[in-house]
Amino acid sequence: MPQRTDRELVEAARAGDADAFGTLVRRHQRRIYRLATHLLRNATEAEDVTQETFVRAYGAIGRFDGRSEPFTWIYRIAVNLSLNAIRARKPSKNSITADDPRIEGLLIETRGSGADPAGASADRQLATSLVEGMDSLSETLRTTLLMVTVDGLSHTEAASALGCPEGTVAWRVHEARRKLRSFLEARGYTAEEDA
Amino acid sequence: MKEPKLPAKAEAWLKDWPLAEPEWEAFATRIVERAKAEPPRDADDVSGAPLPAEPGEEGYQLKTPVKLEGQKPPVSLADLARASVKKKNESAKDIALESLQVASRARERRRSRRACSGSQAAREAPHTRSRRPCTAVERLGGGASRGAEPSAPSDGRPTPVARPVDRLRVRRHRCRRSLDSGTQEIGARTGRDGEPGARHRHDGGERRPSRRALPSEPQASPLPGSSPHRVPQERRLASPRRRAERRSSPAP
Repeated sequence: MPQRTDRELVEAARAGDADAFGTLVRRHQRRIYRLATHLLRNATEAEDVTQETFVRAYGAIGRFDGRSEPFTWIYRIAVNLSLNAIRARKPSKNSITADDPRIEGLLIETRGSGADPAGASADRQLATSLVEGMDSLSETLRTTLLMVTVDGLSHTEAASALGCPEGTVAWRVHEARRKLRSFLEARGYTAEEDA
Repeated sequence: MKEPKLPAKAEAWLKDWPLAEPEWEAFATRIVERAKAEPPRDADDVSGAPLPAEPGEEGYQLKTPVKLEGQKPPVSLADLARASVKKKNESAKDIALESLQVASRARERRRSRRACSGSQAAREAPHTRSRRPCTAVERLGGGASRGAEPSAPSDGRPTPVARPVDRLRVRRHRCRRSLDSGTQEIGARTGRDGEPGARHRHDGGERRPSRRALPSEPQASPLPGSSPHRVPQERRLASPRRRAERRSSPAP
């Protein structure tokens, strides 16, 4: 049986097919969760936001106008909910903590690759600098960079999800990378191609 | 636009950032159960554009417009034309304007040159007018034709120039008249003294029927006494040699 498209699943869910909605959730939950984790820097909060995103989408599915892809519409809800959660939070919680899921994920990977202790330490420093650099970006630049570079959305998809022109997405990604590079260079990390 | 490169390891992490993930099947089941249990809620408050504009991005020129899937933007030819005119930069406009000016200047120069040649022709008119055949436009009472140039006023006013259609008509009429007059002349000479060497010579200076005339149409004879369509057979088929012999032998 050929895989149903997102639009077909939305149509079926509108007609009361809960399984169709389940398929839509299984298809996109990982991406939504990853984006929420990067934005919120907290795994539990990311899980809550991911759940809330799909629940809100299901509740409003009857009013989905079909102007954009269902996926970008869900993505937009996720970004809005994540930003709402960040804004509602205490400012102290926005700093990097020891249990930051982003750094943990990177370190688990480097440990698994069997790197020597000195290499592991260097990786940890680089991971911390990278995360700090990303957090130093504005909400707009950080979210756009995450969507395009980390989550792998095309500029068209990101533009549709963020409600801005593709050119603006390209500019934001460029600007975010430029600032991130400056941030890392200030800490002694340079790109090899420049050396 | 070339993206600024980050250190290789940072690039690799950005592309594939490892994260601890929940158990997805149980997670999806929980979501669907919760969605079914909760009453439908409005999502308008979380469906808007989520991010504010970044300072500096307003000046960035859009290269490709946003294309939303499933929605066809209204496109009309007028909009496209307007957009393309907007896209043209100022230098292209200047070039177009300059070329238009150059073209109009060249047109003016040509017109004044033609006016000069018209007044010159008017000065030479007395000896050319007698030979010039009457043009169709003149016969119809129209003054503005090339045939009217010699009789144009030589007081410095520009000579009226015939329209292309008039010129064409005049030219065609001239050709026909010259053909007719040539035939008449040949016919008359042949009829008078039997001048040899004339190609279209006919017996008694008669006129060959015009190709344009219908076969049944009677042709007007240019000379009195001559009858059309009455060329003797032996004369028509005579070879140049026989004709020469006949000429050299005294007439009976």
